[in-house]
This record gives sequence, structure tokens and C-alpha cells, in this order.
Amino acid sequence: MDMRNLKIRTDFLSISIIAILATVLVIFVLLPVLKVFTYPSFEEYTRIIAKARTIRAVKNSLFITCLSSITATLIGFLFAYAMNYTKIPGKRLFDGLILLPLLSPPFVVALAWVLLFGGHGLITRQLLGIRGSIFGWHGLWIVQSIAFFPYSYLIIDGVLKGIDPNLEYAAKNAGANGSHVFRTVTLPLALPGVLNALVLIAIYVLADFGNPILIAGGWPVLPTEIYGRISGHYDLSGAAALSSLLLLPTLLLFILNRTLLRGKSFITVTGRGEGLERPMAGPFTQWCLFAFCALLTSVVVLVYGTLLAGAFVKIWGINWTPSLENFQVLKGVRGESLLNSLFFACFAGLGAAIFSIFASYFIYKKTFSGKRVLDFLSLLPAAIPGVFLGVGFLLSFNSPPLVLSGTAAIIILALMVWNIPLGYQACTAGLEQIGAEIEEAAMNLGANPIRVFKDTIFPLLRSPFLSGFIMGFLRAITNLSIVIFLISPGKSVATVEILDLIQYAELGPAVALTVVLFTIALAVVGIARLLLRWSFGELKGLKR
Amino acid sequence: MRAHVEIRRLTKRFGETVAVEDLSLEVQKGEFITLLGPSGCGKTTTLRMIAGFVEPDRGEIYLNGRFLNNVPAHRRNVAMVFQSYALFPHMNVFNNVAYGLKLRKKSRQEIGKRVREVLELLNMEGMEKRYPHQLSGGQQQRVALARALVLEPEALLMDEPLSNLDAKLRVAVRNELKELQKHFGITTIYVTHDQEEALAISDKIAVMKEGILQQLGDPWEIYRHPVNRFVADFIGTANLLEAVVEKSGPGFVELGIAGEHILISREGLDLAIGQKILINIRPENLRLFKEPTHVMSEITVKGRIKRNTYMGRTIQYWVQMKDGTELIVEEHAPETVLDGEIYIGFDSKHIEFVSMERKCWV
Repeated sequence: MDMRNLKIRTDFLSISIIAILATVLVIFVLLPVLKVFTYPSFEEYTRIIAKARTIRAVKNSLFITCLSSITATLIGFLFAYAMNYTKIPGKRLFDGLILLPLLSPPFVVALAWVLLFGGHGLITRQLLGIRGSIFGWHGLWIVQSIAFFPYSYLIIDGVLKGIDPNLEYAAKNAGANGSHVFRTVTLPLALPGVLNALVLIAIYVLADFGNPILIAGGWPVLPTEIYGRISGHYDLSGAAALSSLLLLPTLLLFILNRTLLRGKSFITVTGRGEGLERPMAGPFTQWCLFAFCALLTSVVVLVYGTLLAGAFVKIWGINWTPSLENFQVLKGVRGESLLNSLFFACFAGLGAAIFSIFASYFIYKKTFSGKRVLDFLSLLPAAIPGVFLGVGFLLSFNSPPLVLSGTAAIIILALMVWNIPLGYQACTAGLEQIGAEIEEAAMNLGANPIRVFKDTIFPLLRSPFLSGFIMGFLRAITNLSIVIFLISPGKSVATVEILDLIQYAELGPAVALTVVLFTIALAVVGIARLLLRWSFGELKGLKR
Repeated sequence: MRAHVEIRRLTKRFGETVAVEDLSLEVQKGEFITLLGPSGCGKTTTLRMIAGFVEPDRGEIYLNGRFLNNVPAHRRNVAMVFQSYALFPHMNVFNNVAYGLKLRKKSRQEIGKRVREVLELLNMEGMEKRYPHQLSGGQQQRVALARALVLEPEALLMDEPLSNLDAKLRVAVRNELKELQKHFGITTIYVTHDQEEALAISDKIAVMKEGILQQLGDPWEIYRHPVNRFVADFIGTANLLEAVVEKSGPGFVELGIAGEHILISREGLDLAIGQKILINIRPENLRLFKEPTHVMSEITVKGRIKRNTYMGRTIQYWVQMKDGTELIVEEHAPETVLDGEIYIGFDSKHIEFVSMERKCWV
């Protein structure tokens, strides 16, 4: 049915809300993007692009993106396949541990890598006796693959779960053996989802700042170059030009994902046969996958174990005496940055969740001219690399009419905007589930549009609202790439302080601060999830 | 007196697709009218235009003399029962039913009293604290109905309310629904694609096809005097046959049907010799005989049984006639299964004259 013809009485209040949402999107999404593009002059563009270092950074970025996103996707696929098509022991344990990287700052794996393979690395120095360290692209490749595969696992797991087991049984029934079923049914059905994961991870890797800055050293990629332009030379035009260069491939991938891959999913076609057990992989495959999962989980455990150990020894690589000395860092400015992190992330997460719930109803659900533009702007931040957004906010709000630089607001707003797409997508998906008849029923019983929103949409979207908050909070508290451009004295955050400590070779305090930050994040997520369960205790059957 | 609900020349298109075309309809106070037709016939769109969810391109809707087009959906005071029931999943039964009363700022006592009354009427007392997902389909249906009835609306709209119930329950609920409607004396517009349901429940039926009203009448008229091939075929089972007028005179006509010559005595027919017309004989009006000699039927033709479907209470035969035309014959309380050569008997009064294309023969 043509949506344009469905009657929606857009009253004055709805128009006002749409206007407010539109203003926020234009000022805090569109403006920074345009500002970055237009900031450098044409000469400055040509100057920066002609630089040998820029060309190297672009090449490196594209190279590592291809490499890391393919391996991360592959690892994620194998893991997801193991979780869905085997009966190997320890599945629940693997599943739980493997998601840890999603909860921690993006540079945690890199930090562990430094502790294990760095100048005073446990493995390089202590075990192998190698002097110097193994930095450069090899390390970055491994680190990013480990850091990002959980994302691919989550996506592909959803895709595999969506495949109707009956289709696989039908193939078996038609005479296909195990590997045949995999090649002719499972894989083709999962492929659109796998490609989707690949593209999303490519966007993450391309935008990744934390891992390369810690371990890529002299091997430049675009995000680190952009940071270098500003921190080293305070060359804003150069940074803006490089940021534009970085946004291009990201935007391309984003559009590819939304146009080409969208609607290619086969999942919605059937989706029946829930609760039916899948045909399992053969015993040999199962044991291979078990070995793979065990290895992978060990690596993740090693990462976090190393961090914990690093926090509780006197001086890593030199003095292995257990001690709490590293936690002295919590006193003073660096400790305060933790409070800032918590405070900013709460507000950013809450802001993004509130914005999303309103945007999903008043932009996604209503009909008005310009709706598509606002919809696009609500999703656009997902395509914007953190570094780009940081530079964009830096350039946009340090001069009138709107001066925000030096305030907490600029950090909160940037982090909020960056997290809008997640919440927006969660809420629109929730709205789709609710269906139009519930709203119409409320309207039919006498509820005006505001009452419809208050009485039906808001309570029914509580779950996407809370999960939007949790995701937004986590991403905000662990963010480095945006905040590094926006902090000011007294407004620093923990991730930036951690980076600072690492760059001063104060690994112990850096690790200690990381461990505390991670614990705080886990605690908040835990509380939010308890809240979620508690508020839905009575509504177990809510989901259809 | 003006009709309670009046629809004048209502038209709605979705892009190129015509949903409703030039529909005019009058519903008297307390009347139960059913919009009947296959999916895509515009019945639901019509209902949604009355509820105010869809804006008509053209035409007017009046409720009790009040022009409704400009009234927003939440101020129309027509209650709707949705196909999916659309119960609020986050509210218990009481709050679902009380929702509209709360919006109307009724006092707590009044809300409590009215909700209790309507739930009692629907045999749902004691269920107030339950949530929709804790109810069976039939119970959810009752809550949806209670939620609509408690408002004492000016008109009740129902969009295929029984389609999510299993067959037995559907019949039980439909009788109950009819009783409730009579009890409240509420003007009701009901949408369904189930012709049997429509016949059983309605005071009047409006048969629609591709957005156009085909026939409006009470169940007897619709079943016994369909105005065209579509209505005849859609309502019940039809044996639609093309016939040629061979002889015509005062009080009689002879038709050539499927290779047979059949004499019909009937007054008031005005047919020209050679004219092609369409007739219908319902399967239940045909009988089968082993021998050609009998006195029970006016007309007898020869045929051959091709196949049958046994349904317990009835049995249906597909009988092939001389020229290959197949007729469906339905026998009640069958005791044996017939086959082979057979004689079909029927009375000429059971032959209905259905329109040929534009012309109407009633």
C-alpha cells in the first residue's frame, strides 16, 4: 500500500517535534559533515593529497581494511557456525567470553598486544628474549581481527538462526549429504548476511583509531594521520582534507550496505520451524570447530588475563611483584577523568535513546515532505568515522554562532549523535513489530497523537529504548576517536588518559585505568539489564 | 428520516490501484450490514475510511447527520474491532477495556462499573488482571469487543473479527456477536470475505468487487436473486449456465441449456427469441435419480457422474451433461453413493435468471 495515501493527521505538536528533531540533525549531523568537506581550500586539498605520506596512509588503510575485515568476518562466521551447527562442549562458555571485546574499549586488544609483544613484552622479551618489538601491520591485522570478529559473530549468528532448519532437512531429504547441504543451502542463504557483516566490519576497521595508534607505530593509516595533523601540527585544513578522504570509502560502503545488500536477505521468506533442532555438522567438522573455538576463546582470555595481570604487578616486564601501586593513578586528574567518562556516556547514551524513540515515531512513522532526508540523517552517523566526527565538531563549534568548544556539551553531543543510528534502528524495528493496528486502536478509542505516543508507542518501545541506551553508553564510555579531538582541561575522559599514559610508557597505570573503566562499564550494563528484566517481568509474552 | 450512517460516492485510489470506486451506502440505526467480497475488493478500505484512518479522495461520510470527513479519527466515536484485535499488550484486560473511558475523563467509579458490566455481559468476569498474551484467541476477541462496546459508540466497525478463530469457535462467536448487537441495538458495519458468515449474521449484505458495489440486499435476496455472475458465483456454490431463448410466449419460455430444451412457466419474463442469457441453479435444488420415470421433478435431464466428494452431512456430485457441461449436485443425508448414468431432476422455479454482462434479469 502506498504510504503517502494513508491518512496521518499531522497536528501542530507533531510538526513541532519533527522541527526540533530536524534542527538537531541538521546542526549536529549535517553541519559538521559539510564543515569538514568545505574547510580546506582546493589548494589545501591538492597539497595534502599529493603528499607521499598521505598516499601511503590511504594505501595502508585500504590494505588493512580488506585484510582485517575479511579475517574478522571469517572468524565470526566459523564461530557462529560452531555455535549453531554443533553440539561441542563448552558452547555457553565460549559464547559468553567471546563477547567481552564488545564491552571494552576498542584498544584493549592492542594494549594486551603491547604487554605481550611490546618492548617489555612478556612473550617477546621474557620468553623469546627478542629485543625490540613486533609492531606494524602484522600486529595490527591480528589485533583488529580479534577486536572486531565478535561483531561479525553477532550478525552472522542472527542470520544462521534465521535459516529455517526445514530447508536443510528438505535438502537432506532430497539426498544431499552434510557438506552438500552446507554448500547448496546453508551458505547461499547466509551469504547476504555474511556480506552485510563484512561491509559493516570494513566500516569499523577503516574508522579504527585506537588499535593503530597503539601498535601500528610508524605505519600510518588515515585515522592516525588525521590525529597527527592536529596534535603534531595543529593543521586543521590538513586534518579536514584527510577526514574527507576517509569518509569517502566509508560512505561508499555504507550506501552499498543500505542499497545493494538490503532486502537481499532470505531470512524473512520463511522463518518458520522455530524450536526445531538443526541438522548438526559431521563429527570431524565438530571437533575441528571445537579446537577453533577453544583456541579463539583462549586468545580472548589471554587478552583480558594479561590486562588484569598488568594492572596488578609492580612494573610490567621488569618487576613482577603483585601490587596495587598502579591504582594510585585513580587519585588526581586521571581518576577524575573516569567520572567524566561515566557522566558523559550516561548523558550521551540517554540522549541518543530519547532522540531515537522520538525520531522513530515522528520521522520513520509519520508522512511529511523531507522525511527521507531526516531518515537518512538519522542513519548517517553510522557511516561517519569517529575521527571525522571529532574533527567535524571541532571545526563547527569553535566559532560563533554556536561556540561549544571547551564544554562538556560538545563531547556529550558528539557522542550522542554518533550513537543515534543504533537506537534509531532498534526503535524502528520495534515499531515494525508493534504494527499499525495498535496505534489505530488507541486512536479509535479516542487518543490524540500525543496520547497514542505516550500510551502505546513509548511503553512498547521500552526494550529497544533501554538496549539503545546500553549500546550508546558502552560505545560512548569506550570511545577514543571522537573525544580525543574535543577534550579540554578538566573535561578529559578515561580513554584519552589511558592513551596518554601509554604514550608516556606508563603501561601499569594505563592498564589499571583500563581495568577500572571496563569494570564500571560492566557494572552499568549489568544494572541496566537488571532494570530491563525487572521492568519486563510481567510482560514475558509481549514479543509475538 | 436520514440513515444513521450514510456514505455518498466514496472513492479511494492507492496510486494506480482503485481501492473503492463511487460507493454509496446507507445504514439504518441498529442495522447490521456486512461488506462482503474477496481480498482487494475495497471492503477494509471502506471501513478504514469510516474510522478515519484513510482519507477518501472523493465522497462524503455522515454519521447521524454529522459530516465526518473532517473529524480526526480519535474524535469520531465509532468503535472498531480489529482483525488482529490490536489489544494493548502492555495493559491488562481491565485497562484495555477502560482505556477509552479514561480518555473520556470518566470518574473512577463509573469506569469500574461500566468495565465490570461489559465484561460480565461477555462472560469475561474474573479476567480483569490477565494480560492479552495470557488469554486464548476467543478470549482476546471478547476483550476487543468489550473495549469497543464499553464506549457505547454511535457505530461499531468490525474488520474480519472472526478470521483468527478456529472453525467451530467462529460459528459460536458469530451467533453470540449477533445477539450482542441486537442487545445493544448498535449500528454495525462488518467486513468479511466469508460468504457463509455474511449470510448468517447480517441484516444486509453489500457485495463488493474491485472497489465497486455489486449488490446490496438482505441475505435472501443476495443468495436467491444475485444480480450478476460474480455475486452468484461468490455466494454459495453456483451452477452457472449459458442459455439461449428458443421459444417465448406469455407465461412461458423455452431455453436451450447444455444441449437440452427446457420449458419454464413463469410470468413477467420479457425475452426475445435467440437472446443469450445466464441462468443459475443451486446444487441443493438438483436431485439425482437412477430411473428417468418419476413424478417428483418437473424437469429431468440425463447425465453421467464424474466424481464425488463426501462430507458426511452432504455429498457433492459432479455430473457431466450431454454437451460436456458439468453440474454440481448436492444431496443431503446420503445413504448410498451413486455413480454412472444418472438422471438430474429439478423444478423450473429454481432456475434463477442472472444478468448477462450489463443487462439485469431479476
